[in-house]
Amino acid sequence: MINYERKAKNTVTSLIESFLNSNPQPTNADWKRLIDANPEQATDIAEVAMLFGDVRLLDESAYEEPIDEHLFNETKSYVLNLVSANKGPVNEARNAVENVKGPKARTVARDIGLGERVSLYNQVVSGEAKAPYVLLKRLARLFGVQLASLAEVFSANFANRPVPVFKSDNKPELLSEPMSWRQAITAAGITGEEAERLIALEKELE
Amino acid sequence: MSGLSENEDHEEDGGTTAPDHTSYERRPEHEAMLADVLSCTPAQLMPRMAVKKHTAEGFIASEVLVTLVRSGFGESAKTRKEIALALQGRILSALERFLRQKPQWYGVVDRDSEAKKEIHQEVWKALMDTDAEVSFAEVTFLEFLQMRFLDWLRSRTALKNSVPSIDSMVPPKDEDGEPVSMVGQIEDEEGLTPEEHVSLKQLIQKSQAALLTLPRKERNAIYFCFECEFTQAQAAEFMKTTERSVRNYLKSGLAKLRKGGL
Repeated sequence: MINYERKAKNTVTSLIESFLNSNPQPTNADWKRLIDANPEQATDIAEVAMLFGDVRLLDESAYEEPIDEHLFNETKSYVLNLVSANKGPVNEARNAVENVKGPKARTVARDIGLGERVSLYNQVVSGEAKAPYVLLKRLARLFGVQLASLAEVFSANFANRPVPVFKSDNKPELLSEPMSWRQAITAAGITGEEAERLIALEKELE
Repeated sequence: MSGLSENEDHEEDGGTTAPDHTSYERRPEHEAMLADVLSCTPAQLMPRMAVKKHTAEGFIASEVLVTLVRSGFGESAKTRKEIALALQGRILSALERFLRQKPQWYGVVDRDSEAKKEIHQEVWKALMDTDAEVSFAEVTFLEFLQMRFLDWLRSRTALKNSVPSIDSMVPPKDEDGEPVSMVGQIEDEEGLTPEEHVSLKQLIQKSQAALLTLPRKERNAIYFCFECEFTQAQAAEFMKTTERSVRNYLKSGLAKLRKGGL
């Protein structure tokens, strides 16, 4: 398939996916409107519309359908290879995080709603404090990366954090798991309205 | 939902399509579930991978699983593997259900053939080959699956239809350079009669599957004129052909559907 054909195919696929997102159970009238609005893609839309019919075939109960174990085993290695080769999103997230140092961290902390609490930002990045979802989302948007990849980077940072040197008179305190967001705020000595505002981030999805 | 964005061109690599950049808004229920999942430890997450019943406690929506897989989330190789295999199981289950509900596809997908494996691989390629911040599969996974199943089946149907039949071994060409079947060559200055129109509409309503076995131009003409009720002039415009050709496609399509014993 030559490039312009591929591009056209993707355009139609995107168009139809957007349409199905807005019309999960499209009727003939819905398809007709889509064709009317996109006459250049009419024949490709018609092809999908004919196949799709006007009935939604699958619902979530489909996941309970017994699977062909033989097929499952035969396709397993394909899936696992594909997934293990998928390093890009985490690498992108890691690079984005590593590029934020010094004064940049202060700016980022402000941009995501932490105000002057750059230490909280650093704790989130190091994985010591569990970041509320909304902070992951804001950071992902700011860095242009996947939010779950960021969560993965923070977890890896926590798992790979340097172990403090043991001293006989001063045992190192090493967290076995990340602090909760609330604990991190308390540990940072934040109180009053600011603490309430920061704690409330845990309930936000945005 | 965001608008559509341009796709980049990629080098020729044997049929792989360029990554899709179209991004969507995550649905609130998936967003809440994703927030919950990201706050879990691997030990909390693992048992939830085994929950298949969508109404059961701990069930993780497939849309969220797709996000985890695409993002490389999992904290350890073991967890990533379990997440991927949970999603794989759902894809295979959905494929079985799809084929059971649309038995006409069993003619295309032989139970014992490699077809299911191919469909499964196409689904995974489409899942991973996207640069979108939030892909279509992360918004409505079952629609995404149906689209991919149908895409694959459509490509197979096209292949099947490209095999020349006995009565068109030396086909004449229409003005687009496309072969016209014997029935399509019949002169038809007046177009379809009202009786033919009603008759064809009834035929189409009887069986979508039969329609899909027709050559592309015939089924497109029928779809535009009978399912959508566009005029023949509009259909001609969509198909970048003449009204006369559309009439011929309709006529030959009708003849073939009738010949099919419907």
